[in-house]
Amino acid sequence: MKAQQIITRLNKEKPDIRAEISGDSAEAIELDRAALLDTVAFLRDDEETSFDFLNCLFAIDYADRIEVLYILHSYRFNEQLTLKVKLDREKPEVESLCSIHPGAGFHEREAFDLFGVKFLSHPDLRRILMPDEWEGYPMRKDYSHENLIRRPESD
Amino acid sequence: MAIRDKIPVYVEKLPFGSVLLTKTDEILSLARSCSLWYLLYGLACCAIELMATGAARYDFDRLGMMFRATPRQVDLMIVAGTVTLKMAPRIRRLYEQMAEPRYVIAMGGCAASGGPFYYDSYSVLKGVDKIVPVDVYIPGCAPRPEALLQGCLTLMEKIKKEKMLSGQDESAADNNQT
Repeated sequence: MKAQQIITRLNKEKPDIRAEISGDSAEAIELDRAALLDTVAFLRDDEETSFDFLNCLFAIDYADRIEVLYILHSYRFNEQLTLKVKLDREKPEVESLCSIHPGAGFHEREAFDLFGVKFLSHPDLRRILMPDEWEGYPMRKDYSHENLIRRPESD
Repeated sequence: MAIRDKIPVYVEKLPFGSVLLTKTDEILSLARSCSLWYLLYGLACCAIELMATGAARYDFDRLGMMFRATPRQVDLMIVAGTVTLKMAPRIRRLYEQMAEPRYVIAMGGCAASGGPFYYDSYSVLKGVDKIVPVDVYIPGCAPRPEALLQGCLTLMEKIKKEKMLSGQDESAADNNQT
């Protein structure tokens, strides 16, 4: 099922959810933050989409915003779908998917660790890769650290 | 007799064999250099070469090098791989748990200086010598087993020159600085 078909189905079954094809990529669906949980639960339970597996989840820092991307997989139809939410870079917060896909927990901890995205109602949101006492979020574009030496420009 | 080639000895032939006379420092250093037990651990891809060196084809055992899985029983720590800032305190602790005299070999570019992670990395320590004193550096990414063996032989030569009892050796004093 193509992303446009999924949006059509979403509009029919869940009229209050606003979803649109992302401008960057034809196969990604962009959602409002508030609609994320409803949409993921619907896509999992609906017989026609059956996206029953969260393949992965990650954040991207675009310097003016932070996006969180969710790659869903359907075992029944062997298809993939990308969902995308845009977050405020100053205060990136989004609901945790742990209640729908428990496997999201570690992925969300990674996004929290490296990008500082706060996942609301996550059962155990703490750093997963960096030391617990680490300050800052290393994968952000404006990150700096005393240990970080930039490679000199080559001629 | 092979031992005559390695350390200065006085030999007196007797009807039933011979008597060897040498300094205790010499025999002690020779014995210590020929039983370097190393700590069984690896940090990254260099550990693969370390394992290859320990296995049958290159065979660390023939140098008297056996791995031990506890720092209490080892003489040598081979830092084989990338040392991250998160790992650094653990390595320091392992080093402190080793009994003296103790030696460290920095294997590969990462352990020597940060290697390919020197630039643009927030998480990699720029050389293990920032946290523990290093006796021998082995360049390479990753060093082949021959290079690691050469490094170990270099360390053995260094140990043979040490004078544990008379305490005149300077390299041993350097080693104990932390």
